Amino acid sequence: MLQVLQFGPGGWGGELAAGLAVTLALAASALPLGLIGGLALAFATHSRRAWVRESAAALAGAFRGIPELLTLFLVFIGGQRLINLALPLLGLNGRFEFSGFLAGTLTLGLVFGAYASEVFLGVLKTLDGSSIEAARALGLGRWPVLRFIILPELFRLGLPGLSNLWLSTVKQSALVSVVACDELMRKSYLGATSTGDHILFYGVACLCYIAITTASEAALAAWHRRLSRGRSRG
Amino acid sequence: MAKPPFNPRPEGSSGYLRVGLLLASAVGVGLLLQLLLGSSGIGGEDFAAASPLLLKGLGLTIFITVTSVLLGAMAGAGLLAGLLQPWPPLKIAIRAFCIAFRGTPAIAQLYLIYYGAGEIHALLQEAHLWWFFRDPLNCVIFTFTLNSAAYQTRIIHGALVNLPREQTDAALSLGLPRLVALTRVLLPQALLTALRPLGNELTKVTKASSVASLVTVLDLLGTAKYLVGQSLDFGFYILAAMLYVLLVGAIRLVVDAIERHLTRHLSPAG
Amino acid sequence: MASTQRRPLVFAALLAIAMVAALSAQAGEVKVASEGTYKPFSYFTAGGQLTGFDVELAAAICKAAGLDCVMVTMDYDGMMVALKEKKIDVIDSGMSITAKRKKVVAFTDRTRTSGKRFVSCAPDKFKKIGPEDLKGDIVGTQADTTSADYIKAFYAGSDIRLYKSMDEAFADLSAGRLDLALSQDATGYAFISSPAGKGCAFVGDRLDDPKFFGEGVGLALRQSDAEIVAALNAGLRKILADGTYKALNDKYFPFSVY
Repeated sequence: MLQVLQFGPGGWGGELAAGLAVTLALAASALPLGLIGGLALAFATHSRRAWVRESAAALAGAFRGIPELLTLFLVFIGGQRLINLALPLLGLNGRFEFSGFLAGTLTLGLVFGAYASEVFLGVLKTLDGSSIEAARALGLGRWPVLRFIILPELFRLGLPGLSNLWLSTVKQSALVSVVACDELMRKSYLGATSTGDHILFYGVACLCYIAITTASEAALAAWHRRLSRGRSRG
Repeated sequence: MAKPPFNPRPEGSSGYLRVGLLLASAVGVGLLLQLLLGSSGIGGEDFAAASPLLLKGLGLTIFITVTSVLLGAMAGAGLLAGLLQPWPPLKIAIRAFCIAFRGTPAIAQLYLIYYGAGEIHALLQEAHLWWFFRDPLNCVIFTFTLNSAAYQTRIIHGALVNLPREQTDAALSLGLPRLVALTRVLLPQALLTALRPLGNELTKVTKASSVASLVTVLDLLGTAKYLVGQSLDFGFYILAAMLYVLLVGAIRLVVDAIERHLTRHLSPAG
Repeated sequence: MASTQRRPLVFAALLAIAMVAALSAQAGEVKVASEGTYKPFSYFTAGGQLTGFDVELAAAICKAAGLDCVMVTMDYDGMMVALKEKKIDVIDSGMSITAKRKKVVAFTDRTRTSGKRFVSCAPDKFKKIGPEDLKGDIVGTQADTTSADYIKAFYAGSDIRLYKSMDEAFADLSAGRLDLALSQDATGYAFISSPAGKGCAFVGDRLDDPKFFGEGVGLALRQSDAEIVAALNAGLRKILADGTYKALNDKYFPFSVY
């Protein structure tokens, strides 16, 4: 039984390890998209213009309400269609394939952003203006205030919520297997259907996911503790 | 006393209704685009033929969600009781269960249970259990029951543990037996805190149940996938998306209303 | 804090990774898609190698036609859409050439026959396979195939299950979730000869009603790619003539699949 899992040409071990790497790459690539998207949505919700507020709320609500699997299908097919339309308009003649990995990254990023905006909005509500007033009194402009006062606070207070989102993203990356992206779930699926050892392959995949999530949780908790040291309240 | 720099946006679920309307117009725009792009939009007859199938799929999704969350709640109650016993091996086993089901994707759990049961079907037949695992729908509900049980246990246990110590002390100093203190004093307060996360759990399962479509179950997404395959028109995915958003929005509205009603005795800060 | 300054760079780097991983614009390549979960026509070996009769056949035809072909895998249910959207150029997954499909895609000449047969893992129970005989039984096949159309047309009284791939249908067949599976006879043969198919056998005669199953299996392309179709046909004729097809046939099956 273990022979099936060996590394090298005879066994699936190497394939599963490669899949694990792609899983981590998927989640890692989605992270910046999601954080930026979440921040944008959160700040857009406070815009003075009504149409910006409503669009942000609608977008966030849409991606929180649609199952990730369906969002993946929409992005996968829709994205390819948009590319096919856009390329001739831009005068480019080649062919651009909208890969499963790209669709997965975009989907995971969109969903992360939609939920992250909720986390950031919750944090923004609890911020008081004292540190901002102090910074303004010192003569700092709008952009530095954002970068050095607001964003670090947002990040520190939002870390518990964002940590949960990271864990969700890692688990949701398994769905990208459905659009033929060679991450861990797809490799397990191929191995299981090829050899018939379903319990073995899916069991190993589950163990890998448990390893990633447990390690992430521990690391993020430690990071949160470190960021909160010297503070009276969490 | 510093004024908050941002005006808090009034919280409400009306945003979801707005989203529903927005998506409805999105469907309209989508169809228009499809006409422009030359592919056949969903014509009147196609829609008439597809509607009953989609509604059936929607019904199945609701059934899977409600059944799994309810059964999961019952299983979770059992797990919670186990966690509160002063017996370490049981606690460790329950924690391991929760780590397993909260740390892995639902799709992996479903494949493991569905295909795993198929692999050992001879053993299951001997144990007179095969009749259950034979049906894909049963496997889906079984998986999501265990999954939801793990999350619900964590939510309520977390809420219980975060209650102020004074509550337990006061109850016990009044001479209340431990069980009564738990069920009459602590749990009601914990459940109140847990309402919001439990509501999230409900919407989470609604969306996650869509993986049932990957094991031949014709829930909402499965039906949409079938229709898209038959017609090569991915407008059915947009329709399904709209239905999911409306469903999740409706659930959220109901849960928020229940939460408002049950916490009406608390001050705004609570 | 140094980390606030480093963070944007980290994000930019991660974004760049994503973009690089996604770019795959190639000119002149012909992308041939098969399933990877369709023994013995397209499947993965333990080392992650894609192989199978359809895969090797397509490679041989391309070589004889002088085309630069790249083999990719994807789920069957996404193939038609992918072909339409120019993600792939050729569908090589045992698609039967039918009039209904010819309206939307162009087919090469026949690469193999498309006769179908029922497989059962309790063959003694199913001596006859008429619609009334199978009423109430659980019958399965791959979704969006001619087999699926056939079952839906004739076996409406049975409990019909449609699967993402034929391998999944066979997994459920040997697990006992299905009473019968309908598939191409070569696929069924490969399953029966495998360890998972022990005790299973064909039931009933070969079904090859041309109204449902068309004139055989071919490679599907977009209708606008007529020159590639012609080139592939020329390549196919060449390997039929010079014995490459026969050698490949014999490697996988003890009977002719042409």
